[in-house]
Parts: sequence; C-alpha cells; structure tokens
Amino acid sequence: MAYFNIGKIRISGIANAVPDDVEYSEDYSSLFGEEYVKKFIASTGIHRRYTSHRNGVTASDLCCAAAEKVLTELNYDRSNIDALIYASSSRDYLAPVTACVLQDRLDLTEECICYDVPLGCTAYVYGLYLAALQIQAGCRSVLLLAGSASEQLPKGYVPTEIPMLSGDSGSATLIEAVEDASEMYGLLRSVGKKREILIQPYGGQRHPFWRLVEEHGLQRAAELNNRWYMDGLEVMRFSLREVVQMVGDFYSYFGGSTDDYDILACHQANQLILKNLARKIKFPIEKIPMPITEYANTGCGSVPLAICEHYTKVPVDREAAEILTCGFGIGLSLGIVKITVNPKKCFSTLKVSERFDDKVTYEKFH
Amino acid sequence: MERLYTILEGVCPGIDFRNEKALATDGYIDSFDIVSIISILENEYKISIPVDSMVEENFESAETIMKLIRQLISAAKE
Repeated sequence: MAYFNIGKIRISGIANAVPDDVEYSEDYSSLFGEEYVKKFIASTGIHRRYTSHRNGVTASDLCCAAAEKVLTELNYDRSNIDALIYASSSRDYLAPVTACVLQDRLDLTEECICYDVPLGCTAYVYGLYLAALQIQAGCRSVLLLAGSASEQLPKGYVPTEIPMLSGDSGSATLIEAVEDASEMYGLLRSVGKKREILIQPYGGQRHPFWRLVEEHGLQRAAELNNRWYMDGLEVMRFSLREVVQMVGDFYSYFGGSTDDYDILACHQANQLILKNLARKIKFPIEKIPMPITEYANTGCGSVPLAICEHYTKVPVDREAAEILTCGFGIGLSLGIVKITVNPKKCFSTLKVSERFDDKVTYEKFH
Repeated sequence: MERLYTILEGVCPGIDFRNEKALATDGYIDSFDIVSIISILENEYKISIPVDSMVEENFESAETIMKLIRQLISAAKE
C-alpha cells in the first residue's frame, strides 16, 4: 500500500528554527585549500550553514522553539493537540523517546500520543502521512516536529573533511482535522536492500561499541563509533533513478502535472542532485526552492525549511497553495506527498542560542 | 576528441584528461564531478545517459567517456 489519499487535513501553520551560529564554506579554505572549497561550493551550492556543534543546541531545542512559534502565532489551544510526532534521528537520549520530552517542554496534555519516527531525510514526508493517519483515527490536531542537529564538538576540534554539507534545523507543523479541508495524498517507498550505501554501521546492537574495542582497541573504536559511510555515486544514482521513477509513478497514479503545484519542496541533498532531478522530472527549476545555499543540507528538517523560506521570501496573496513535498535518503527511503499550505502561515525562521538544561548530572545516574 | 577534452577541462579544471587513465579510481574525480560531466555531455551531444551507466568504469578516462558517448549515439540511431 504505497499510495495513500486522506481527506480533511489542514496544514494550519509551519515554522522553523536554526542554531544562532553561522559558518561559511570559505572559512575552511585555509584548512582544505581554496580550490577544493570553491569546487565544494560549486557542486553543493552551499555557501553557509547554521550549526550547533559549538553552542550545543539540539534538534529538539530547535523543534521546541519552532513549535512555540507556531502555537503562539496561531494562538492555539494546546489541549487540542492529541498527538506529537518527533520525526528525527537526532535524539536527546538513547531512551526514552524525544517526543515525550517535548510533550513535557511544550506543556501538552497527558492524553497526547507521543512517539518518535527515527527516519532520515524522509522523516518529514513520512511524518505527514502518519499525522494524516492520526487525524483519520480521530485526533483533533497533530504536532509534527522534524529536525536534525549535529553533535556538540570539543573546543579546538579539527575536522578531517569539510563539514559544510550538513546544517541544522528544526521545524514544527500543526496539522488539524477540518471538515472542508483538502486531501493529502502521496506515495511512500523503501529500498532496504540498498541500506549500506548510506549507513552509520557502528554503535548500535549489530556492531556494539564493546566489540569494536575488543577488535580494534579503544582509540580506533572511538573513531569508528557513530561513523557515517556514504557511497556518493550510488546515492547520486538512487536520487536520479528511484526518485525520478517515484515522481513519474505519482503523476501516473494521481494525474496532474507540474502546473498544478505551486512549488516542489524537495529534500535539500545538494544543489547538483536538485538541478539534475529537476531536469529529469521536467519540473521548472524556479519552482524548486533551494535554501541549501544558505542553510546546507538540514536532513530531517530540510523540506519544511524549504516551504517556509520560499513563502517568506516570495509572499503569496492567497490562503491556499497546493505544493509537493519530496524526501529521499537513508534507509533507503523515499516519498512524495501533496499538501495544501497557507503561505501566510508559513513563518520566518527563528534563531536559537540556548541549549535546554535538563538538570541531568553524572552524579545522578551513575 | 578535442571537443571532449575541452568540455572535461571546463568541468574539472586542472585535471590531465589527456593522460590520466584512472580518473575515478585514483580520486581525480568524484561523484559530484561525474554527475556534472553527465549533465554537460547530455546537453552537448544531445544524448541521454542512463543512470545505470553512471558507474566509475565509464568515467576512468577521456577514452572510456568517449566510448560511452559513441555507444549512446549509435544506439539512438538504431
């Protein structure tokens, strides 16, 4: 059941937040060479990013700030929120789920269903689908929080490769059950057999840290733990084959054409992929927002960021815009979902500098 | 062949496309370069390079790239 179509879904508001700390790709010229950095900017499109590796702001801090923005702007009664979905792989703790932490921080009721969806770059489109299912099952409204943040690094940390591809952002989308609202429809897919082309293989139960220590020693184990691996060419192939196929299947099943949609809010993998994807699916490039140039690839939060950055920079004098959202990445996982947004309720991006203090001390849990 | 050298040198300046025989294997070009090269070749030669041809072997040298172009042009004529 890859295709779905669920009615009476209203996207009431969307907001985003980024860490209040900016870095420029050119800052890394002295470390990696001017020519290399120029080439990096030319291919990825990334000039700057907002990052949490210095101030330690987490993805949940960003999502929390974005949620406060949406709820305040809409003057929304929080007791109506029947579900909170935290769509992110950037978790506060290994356990419990971050959604429960956010329920407390946002002062939602104890009747609120809370769960995490630890996907990567498809977290938002899967989250939209799950939120629609929750509405269909009787929830009055759902708060979908999606974001990614990098880890805080020690002072003086020197990266071994340019770290500018990934930026940090968190988002909040309020989704409500409204009788005369439009349909949300789309298509979600998974290609698990190709999981090894984009993977963080060590540190989980399959390859635990202690086994790495036994086999490689403590120092090497620490280097390997949580390491990311990406087969760049395979990822490019996936983006230009499976994603192109999915978009074609979407049009075949639901009908319509690019003219029917205001924008395609696409996961911001890199500018080269986006331009080639646009060319392959024949979607006008000017209708694909590319906040990647200013924010880098913000993972789980890139799609809502693309929506709001577009509508805050290109104001639209309408209260409804039909748009496509598209995510693809680790899993492998991919999805395309049509939603209707109110451009006037797509809010400007906040900057967050404060890391939430959970009062946890090492003396408390030893 | 000169036309191809000019195109490749435009996409990846500073690489010796006339002599290097292991461009991808030896790390002279990466996945970003390969996609950039494909994008320009499709435009310049009016061909469509299938995603399945986006493999390192086809981009190891100017000769292998030219071989791929010729295959696609002749396949299009058939």
